[in-house]
Amino acid sequence: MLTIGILDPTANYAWADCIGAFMTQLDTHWNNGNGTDYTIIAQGPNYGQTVPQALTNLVNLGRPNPADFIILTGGTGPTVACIQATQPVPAIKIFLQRRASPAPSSRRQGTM
Amino acid sequence: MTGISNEQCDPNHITQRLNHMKTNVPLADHAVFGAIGNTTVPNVSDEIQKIVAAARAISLRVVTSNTSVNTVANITTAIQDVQAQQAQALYVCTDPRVTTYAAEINQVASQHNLPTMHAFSKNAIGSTSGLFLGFELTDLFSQAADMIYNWRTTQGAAFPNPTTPPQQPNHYP
Repeated sequence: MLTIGILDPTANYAWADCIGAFMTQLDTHWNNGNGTDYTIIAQGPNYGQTVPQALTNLVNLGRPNPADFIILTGGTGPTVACIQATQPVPAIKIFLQRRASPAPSSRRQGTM
Repeated sequence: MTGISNEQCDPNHITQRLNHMKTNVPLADHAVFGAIGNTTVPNVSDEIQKIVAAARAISLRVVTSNTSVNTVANITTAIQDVQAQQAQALYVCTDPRVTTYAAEINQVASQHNLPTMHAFSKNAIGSTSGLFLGFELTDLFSQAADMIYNWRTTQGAAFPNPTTPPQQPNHYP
C-alpha cells in the first residue's frame, strides 16, 4: 500500500479536477480503478492549518505508515521551506518555479 | 524534492503569452497591457517583473497595480488602476487565488471592456476574449502520478532529491 499525502491548497473549482486527474492516472498505471494500491491523505490550509503544520500532519497521520510521498501544490510557499518541512519524505511540487524551456508545442493555447 | 514547472516565470513562456495577446486581441498601435495578480505571492511578483522586461523587448508597454488581487474586493481596484494607466488588455498572473476568483476577474474585466489573457484554459471561461496559453492544471497532476508510478515500479531507485531539476510538462502535442 502506497500512502500519498497531498497538501490541500486554496479551495477552488480546479482542485477536484486536479486530484481527479492525479488519481485517474494512478489507476491507469495500476489498472485497478478502485484505489486499493494507494491511499491519499490530505491536510492543509483548508483544514485551518499552516503549511508547516499540514506537512507535519501528513507524515504523522499515516503512522505507522506515514506518507511515502507528499504532493505540494500551488500556494505552498517558498520551495526551500517546503523541502525542509517535508524531509525525509520525498515530495513533488507542482508549480516548481525553476528554469526549463520546453518545446513550444507542449503548451496549450487558444480561445474559448 | 523534485517538481514540475508550469513555466510561470519563464521569460520565453511570458513572451509567448504576450504575443498570443497581441495576435488575438484587436488593439490600437502602441498597445499597453496591464499585468495583475496576487502580488503577495513571491512567484507572482517575480512574474510581473519578467512580464515588464519581456514586453519591453517586443516593444510593448506593461503597466501594473499596487493593489494585489488577493481578495474579491481588490479585483475592481486593481483593474481600474491599470485601466487608468491606459491598459487595453489584462495579463492575468497565475496563483490559486486567481483561479478561485477567475469568474469575478473576467466579469469585472468585461465591465471595463478589457480582454484578459489567462494561463489556464478553465480560467478563461466566461471572459470576453477567452484567451489562454499555458499548461493544464490537470496535466501537471497527471504527470506527478507518472513520477510516483515510475519510482514505485523501479524498486530501489532513489527518488529525485532536492537537487533534481523539475520536469517539463509533457502533454498537449
